[in-house]
Amino acid sequence: MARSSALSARRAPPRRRALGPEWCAPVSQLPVNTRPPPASNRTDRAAESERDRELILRAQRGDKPAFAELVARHQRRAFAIAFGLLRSEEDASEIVQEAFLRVYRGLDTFNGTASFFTWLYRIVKNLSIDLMRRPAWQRELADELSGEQVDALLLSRLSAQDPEHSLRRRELASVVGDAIDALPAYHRAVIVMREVEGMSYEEMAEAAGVSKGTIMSRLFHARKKLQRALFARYVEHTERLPAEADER
Amino acid sequence: MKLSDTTLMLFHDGELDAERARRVRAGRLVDPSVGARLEALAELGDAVRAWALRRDTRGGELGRFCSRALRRDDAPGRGDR
Repeated sequence: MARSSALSARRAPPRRRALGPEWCAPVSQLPVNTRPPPASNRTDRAAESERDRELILRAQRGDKPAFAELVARHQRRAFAIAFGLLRSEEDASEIVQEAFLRVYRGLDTFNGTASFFTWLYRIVKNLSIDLMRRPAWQRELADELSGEQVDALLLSRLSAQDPEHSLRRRELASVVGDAIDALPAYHRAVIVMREVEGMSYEEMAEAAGVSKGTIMSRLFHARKKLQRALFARYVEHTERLPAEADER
Repeated sequence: MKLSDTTLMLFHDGELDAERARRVRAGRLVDPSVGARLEALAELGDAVRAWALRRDTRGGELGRFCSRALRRDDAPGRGDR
């Protein structure tokens, strides 16, 4: 994509790090803006976390294949998070490499109180946000895409085969955006973590530093508020329809 | 059997245990409103993702949003709603 090349061209020298190919294989293109998969069951998650802990212990003792396995297990999800924020494969790949480099350097500081993925998630998120805060990154993106181009991109990604459906979703997105802006920050956070990033309740609880029950409650109330906002807009719209018909 | 909104949300998010998930699937077969309520949750999720994409494609707004929303200082203490 043109944006990727433009973004990479402005940075000199490139931030490529010396992570060997045995650690970080190329990440194939991931589908974007698709519905997140349902959280896997607790047994699977517990087994995954246990395997991560074993690999970290081995990596802390200098076992490079163990670290390579950690990278292989988590790089796609890390890439998906970075790509979801940055919308650039190249930038996302660099962020993932940088994140795993920081993980490697900080292995000795990992004490296992949170899951490995939560630790990695925070690093990826913070690196992505740091990149997006750079004025040059924001200016160039705004310059590259006009409003119409953004809408065209959005429509093509959402549902190009059904324009009516796309318009409806765009309208919904606009209403939801207003409603989300009106939410308190802790409600906005759970909505984004769940719906945009597909995180499980356990991952959200670890990331936010609260209990799973609190996450569940926040998500419940946040969704109710959004649904009420959508319903209010729907009522407003349907009440307007007869008046518009009379005018014609 | 009345299925609560909380139960349906947990089912939608893949957070129910197998037995309770089976009950929701059974309830969906006999009560059309269960399917409609689940569909409403799915629609809401679609709309949120569409919103996220729009913000994201307009100059890194989602990053600034996440930065604010996920800042630990903004979150109230445990048990807050």
